[in-house]
This record gives sequence, structure tokens and C-alpha cells, in this order.
Amino acid sequence: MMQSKITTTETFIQKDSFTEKELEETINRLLDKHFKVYNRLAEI
Amino acid sequence: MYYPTLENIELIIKQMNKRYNMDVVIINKGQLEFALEKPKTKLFGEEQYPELYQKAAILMETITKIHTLSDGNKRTAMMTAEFMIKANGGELILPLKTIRLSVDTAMDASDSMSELIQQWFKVHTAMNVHQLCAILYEHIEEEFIIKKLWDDKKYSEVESLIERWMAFDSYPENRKAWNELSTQWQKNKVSIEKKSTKNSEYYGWYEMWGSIMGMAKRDHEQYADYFDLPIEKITELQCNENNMTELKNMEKIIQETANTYEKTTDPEIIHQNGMILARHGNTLEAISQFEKLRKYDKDESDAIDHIAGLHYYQNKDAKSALEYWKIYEKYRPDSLHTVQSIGFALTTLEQYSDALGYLETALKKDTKSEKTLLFMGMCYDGLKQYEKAISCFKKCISIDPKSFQAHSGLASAYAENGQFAESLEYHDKTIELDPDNFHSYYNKGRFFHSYGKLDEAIIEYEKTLKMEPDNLETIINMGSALSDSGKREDAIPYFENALKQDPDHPVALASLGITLIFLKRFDDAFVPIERQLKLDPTDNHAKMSHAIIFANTGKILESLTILEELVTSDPDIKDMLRDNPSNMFNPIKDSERFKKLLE
Repeated sequence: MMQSKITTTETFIQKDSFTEKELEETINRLLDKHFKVYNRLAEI
Repeated sequence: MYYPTLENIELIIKQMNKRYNMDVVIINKGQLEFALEKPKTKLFGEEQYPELYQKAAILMETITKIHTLSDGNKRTAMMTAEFMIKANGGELILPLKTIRLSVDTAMDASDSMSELIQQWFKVHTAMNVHQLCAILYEHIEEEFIIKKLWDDKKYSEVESLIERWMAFDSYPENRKAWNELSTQWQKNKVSIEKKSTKNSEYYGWYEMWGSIMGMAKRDHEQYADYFDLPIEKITELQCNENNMTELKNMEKIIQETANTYEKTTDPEIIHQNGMILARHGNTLEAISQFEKLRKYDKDESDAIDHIAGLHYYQNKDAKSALEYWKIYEKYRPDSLHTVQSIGFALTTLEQYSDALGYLETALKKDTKSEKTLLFMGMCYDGLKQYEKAISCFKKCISIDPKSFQAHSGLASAYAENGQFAESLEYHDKTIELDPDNFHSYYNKGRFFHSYGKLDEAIIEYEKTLKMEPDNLETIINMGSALSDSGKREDAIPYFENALKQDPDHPVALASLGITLIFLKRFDDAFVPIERQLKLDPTDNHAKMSHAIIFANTGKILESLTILEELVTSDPDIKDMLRDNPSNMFNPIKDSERFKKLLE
């Protein structure tokens, strides 16, 4: 999926904090990504 | 570097509780906070875990071992480490055998796991698409081993691999379940899917098994999405459990993807790759992509702007940024972005007059830009035009009442302008805006220090050091404030601490030497002063200290020779000799050569 071009340099400033929503999304994404590992760790 | 916080972990636990229908609570928050501080540990001013992988590893090991959650310690530890790597621009890929690593960490009593974990994280983290391809390939190959062995009916080998990866030796009850299931599978060749819907207790096993068999389709969709990879091809891949050609296909596709990036001349893809690399903090590789984009894009200006931005904001290299923005200016001479960016870079390079030319143009284009006003304030401050600086910072605050930098700039400009009360007011407001920022306390300390209010300065330096115990400038200033306020003995450990961090710091050497001279510990003072002179043989202050030490340790002729040389090069020194501070020149003041010096 192509992204539209962003022309301001501000894009490159890295995030140094997370809102609760961003963090929630990130965690869920990681849990989905490694569901095999985390599911198994949840069992033991 | 982003460090996970206690709030982050609380949310991780909340999400895990939701997903696994559990009710995990933190037993001891203090212990957890201790674990979160661990990656930041400094020893003698040096970071004990300087690399991201080391930090993530010690975090995972500590959270696993302190066992301060009612349940789910291993999984929360792993997730926190993975989150830390993610937040700092990396993509960790965890194969099944991660479970083994996690269990081994929990069982290890020797504190020797972090090296292994660190290596593990390093090998399994991608910071760019090329690394991702390489890791995915390894990862896929590893899990296809199982399928290949299964197809070859080498069930006992499958079992021993699964046994090792899944840590069945530590959790034998799970091995039993595995054995039952695998026997059924072998016997009945029941469709895995059917099995899972029929018997929900096997759901976990189905997932595990299904993921081994089906492998990476799901993973790949997610990785492709995350990295914006143009690899629709990968998602087209059908994982057919009856043959092994997928492995070859996968290899080919990954190689093709890598080649696409390497060889492509499609500006859209080069641009996209540059943006991905930049977003992941891979600045140098991002710059090289944008350099490539300059060649293949119809209009090179966007690429030039990106390179300039990366130099300025990521590399903190204003000089290179300026060079690129100057080229960009030829394409977009009238854009607000051009004049603003050049103005910022020139300000950082302390070319204030030139910067003001650009910033004033920028302000005409956008009269409400708080950033332009902030940089203008910094320029006027640098040019010592404090009234104008104050006016710019105030305008900036009127647009952005929470601008930390504008408040801080205003406090400094008022101080330089001799407006003590106003400066103090803005120092306090700066602290109010961000009470956790040690710079504010340090600046306030410096402000008191420069006005000779040493006791107040010491209080602020103390607060700063509580937050940043290793901040070199604060340590030295604390020492000098203590020494100047007569607490000379107290000052010495601060200078010594500073010299541990930087043995050649000229101010620390000079301050320690002078403080020891005031304490009449002339032999001790000789060491730092001699070091200072060795580093800069033209330093007149060090020479003077040398002369004082010689005068007080019986080397009168050496002392006089130095003083004669000093008076010739700097006549103001005579006044100091006449003042004879703390009677330092008493041993030589009656000699004829000394008297002659004062004439």
C-alpha cells in the first residue's frame, strides 16, 4: 500500500510518548503478531 | 531512547488480562519501578547497558525474575521488552523457541541470562526491510523444519524439537497433552481444522500446530503491512501442507523483495523506502535512499528537503542541513517552509543576523508561527538585543502559552538584561510547565549563581543532581558554588567526581586546584594544576596557581620566575599580586624581586 507523500520535515521527529490509545493499539498488534508465543506463555 | 513506564506496563497488563481473560495484578509497584530503571543504570557516568538490545534484555530478565505480578510475569516481561524495541524503531520477530528462552530466564538463578537474551534480541530485530527479509527467512526456515520432519514421518524428531522449543521438560503436564494429540493426529489424520472446532480444549494446540503448518501467511500480511512492503506476492502465497515448494517460493520472493529495493528506479518505491527507514530511525540509510531518489525523481526537491530534515532533526547536523536547504531554496524560493527551515538551521549555527533575515520573511508569511518567533527570540538573545528577544518570546507565549522553550528563553533574556525579578518569575514558570525537566532547575541554579546568590544556587543544583546525578556541568557548578561560599571541603568531592567522568575537564581541574590552594593543601593542588598546564601551557590562571603553590612550598625562585613572566604578558596581574588574596603570596612578598614586580 502506497502512502501519500509527506513533505514536511516534521515527519522525522520521533515519538517520545504514547497516548493510551496508541499504546493499546501497539500492544494488541504485538500480541496478534506473536500470538503463538504469547498464547503459549499464557498457558505456562 | 524511549523507556517503558509504569503506566505502559499497567496498560500492557490490562490488555493481556482482557485477551486471556485473567485478573493479573501488580503485587509490588516499587519493585516494578526498580526494574524499569534498570536499563538506565549508569556506572561512573557510563551507561551500563548502552545498546537498545542490552536495555531490552535486562528489562526482560529483571521483570521475569522479580516475579512481582500475581501471574503472567514471563509474558509481561517479554511484551515490555518487545514494546521497548518497537518504540525505538525496531521490529522484533519472535519464533516459537522464544518460549524456551522465556522459561529458561525464569528458571535461571545465576543472573547470566541477559547476555544471551541480548544476543537473541539482536539477531531477531529488524531495523530495516533488508534485515527483516533476512530474519524472516531464518524464521521461516526454522519452522518449516518441523513440517518437513513431519512429512518424512520422523515423529520422534518433531517431538524432541517441540519439546525443546516449548519447554515441555519444565512443564511435563503439557507434554502429555501434546503426546495425546500427536498420537491422534498420526492415527486418524484428522483435519486439524475440524479437530479444533470439535474439541475446544485443543484450541491452543491447534493454533500452535496450525501456525507451524500454515506458517507465515498471517505473519507476513502483518509484517508487509507494518513495513509497507510492496509484497502482495507474499500474501498470495498459499501454504500448502502437502509439499515443500513454499519454502523455495518464500526464499525467491524474499530475495525478489530485497532486489526490488536494491535495484528499483521507481521513485515512488524509493521514496517509500526512505520514509520507512527514516521512521525507524535508520537515518543514514534513509538519507542514501533520498540521495537515490534525487536521481530518479522528476523533481528532486522533495528528496533534498527530506535529506535536510534528517540532517537537522535526526543527525543534529545543522551545517549539512543548511547546505541541502540552500539547494532546496532554488526550487522553492518563496515557500514558508524554505525560509523557516533555513532560518532554524542558521540560528542553530549561531549565524544570528543571517537567520533573522530568513525568519523575518517567514514571519511575514505566517504571523502566528510560534516556532518562527521562538527562533527569532533565540537570535536576538544571541545578538545581545535582549529587549527584542524578550518581545519575541512573549509573542511566542501569547500564541503557545505552554511553550517550554519560550519560557526558558525569556527567563534567560531577562537575566541577561539585568531584570532579576522577571527572570526569577519565568524560571519558576518554566519549572511549573515541566517539573520533571532537570534543565529548568539547572538554569535557575545558574541564574542564582551568576547573581552571586550561592546558597540559592546550591539548592537548585541539589534538585538537579537528584534528577540527573551524573550531569557534569551541574556537578562542576555545584562544586564551584560550594567552594565560593566557603564550603571548600564540601566542594572537593564534586570536582573529583567530575574528573572521574572527564579527567581533562579544564574547569574541573582549575577549580579543584584553586579550592585545594585555599585549603592550603598545596601538594595536593599541584596534581590538577600541573595537568591543566600540560593540557594548555598558555593558560595564565594555571600558571598563577602554579606560582602560588611554588611560593608556599619553598620553591620561591620558581614562583618569582613565573610571576615575572605573567606580569610581562598581562599587566593586570599586578593588581592581584598587590591584593594578595588570602595572604597567598606571604612567603615571597618581602623579597626584592616581588616588590619590583609591583612597581
